[in-house]
Amino acid sequence: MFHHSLKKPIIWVLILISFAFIKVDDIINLPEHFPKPVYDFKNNPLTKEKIYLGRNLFYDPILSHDNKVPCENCHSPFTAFTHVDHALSHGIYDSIGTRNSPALMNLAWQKKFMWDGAINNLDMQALAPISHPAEMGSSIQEVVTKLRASKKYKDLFYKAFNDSIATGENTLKALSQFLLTLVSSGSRYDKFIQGKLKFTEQEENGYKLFKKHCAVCHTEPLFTNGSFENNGLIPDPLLKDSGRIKISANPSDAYKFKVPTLRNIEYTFPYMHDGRFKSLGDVMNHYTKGIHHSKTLSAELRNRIVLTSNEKVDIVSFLLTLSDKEFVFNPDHRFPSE
Amino acid sequence: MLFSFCVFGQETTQKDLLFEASWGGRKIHPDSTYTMDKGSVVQFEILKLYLSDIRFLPDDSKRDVSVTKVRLIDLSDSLSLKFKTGLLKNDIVTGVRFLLGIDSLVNVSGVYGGDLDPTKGMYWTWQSGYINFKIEGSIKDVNGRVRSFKWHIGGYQSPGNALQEIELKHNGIGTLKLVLDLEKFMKEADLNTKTNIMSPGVEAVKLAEVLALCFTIH
Repeated sequence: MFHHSLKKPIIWVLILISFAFIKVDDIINLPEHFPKPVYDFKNNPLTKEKIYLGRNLFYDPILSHDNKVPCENCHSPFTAFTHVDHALSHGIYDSIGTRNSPALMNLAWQKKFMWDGAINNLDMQALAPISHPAEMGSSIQEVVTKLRASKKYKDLFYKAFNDSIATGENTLKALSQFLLTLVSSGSRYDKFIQGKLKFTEQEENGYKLFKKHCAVCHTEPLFTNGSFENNGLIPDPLLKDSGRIKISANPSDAYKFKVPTLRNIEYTFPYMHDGRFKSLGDVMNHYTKGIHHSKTLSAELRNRIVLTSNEKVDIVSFLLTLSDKEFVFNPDHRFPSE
Repeated sequence: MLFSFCVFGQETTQKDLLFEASWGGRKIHPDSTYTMDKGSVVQFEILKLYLSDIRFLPDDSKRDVSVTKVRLIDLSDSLSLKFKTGLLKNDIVTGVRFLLGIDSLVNVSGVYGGDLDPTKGMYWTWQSGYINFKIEGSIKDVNGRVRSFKWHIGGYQSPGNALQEIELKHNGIGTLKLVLDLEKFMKEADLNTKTNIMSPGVEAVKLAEVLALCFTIH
């Protein structure tokens, strides 16, 4: 009798633990072939109400000073949450920024955010575009003031946080919740890894070449190792962007930028931190015959990469297997019209 | 019965900590001006700083110290200048230990509310990290030339870790008053070349070290 009653609480604890895990898994679909996420879900447990609030905020120009520029402006769902109209970001009052807007996906696995890694946690990432004078030109104080005056958001904050009064903390947590749902893991590559399909001969050859020449930095399955590298681009004389050194003040970080994911690369042109390449062909030509040598050049690029024209086409063929139409056309990611 | 209530009520009253920014023993007000040695006149417009992990050290070593996790002090907000310590009014305090700023763990752990909410204006937006303290104002020299100073000091990573640990000894009972001597700070700060520091780095650390030496407790 004693042993029986003792077991019950243990069973309940186990049930509750497994329920918590399944709940996160259900909402954001943690793929089995992905590593453990970096984001600490315990600090911001996902709920449908918070995700829905974050989704509304993401698509609402209320986050900008002139109420005209939503996050979506630079991060359209149909282009894997980046924009393809400009090499550099396009913000408030037709301002042009200094960097290419990054594609947003699989953010729960990212350690640093922005091209130079200036932001150390997803929760804090939105502060940068909200405050930047060439992006949304506002401040978190101004945003919260507007949200507190909005009947719609009073209702959404109450449903999400049981408190109708918006705070900076809850606004940023809700945005994180929506962003965490942007998981791309339904590409042909993913189905290949899961044994659900076979690559064509061309894709297979491209995959082999990719693993030989590209995968050290663009590491599977996220197709980035999260590091910062100088990939041999000639510095733009007008932008004068020296990359991560601005944040770290370490000379060894000069001209280093975050290695971007290659998932959905078909949709996310133009390429590089300054959007200088319009096509994947341009990118292949850069890595084979355009490398600019400097002190901080990535060790992986110090020896010339030699590829035939056919091999370049094969690699591009493999890169196209990273396109995830389920992700790009997922109605749950779009403007919340309901 | 009434007598008992009063006695016990007095014993359980908590001890407050008062914060005061001073200039030569005078309490600083944002609207007032203060004269330096060489005749320059200083006016402070903003003084905001984080005190965290505040531990009061009672005389009885067997007792746990009282801990306040974080307080944002803002000279323009009188409510922020006084707070409960968790100590009883008759507790004898032998010292206080606190951090000037926010530690690295909090800096990398996402968003917080309360005094740490980013709407408090003490979080950088162009890069991650809390601003440990802000001091802004102007100096008018004897020739009438006016210069502004703006120090936003933070940084949690070496070699730019500006967090300062401060321990102050205290004798006696009663209300505790933490005093920041800004006259001493302005004498030590480099007012010729370093009047604008708003990013982490070695210069920010130096200024934080200077400010850390300007606290006393009474």
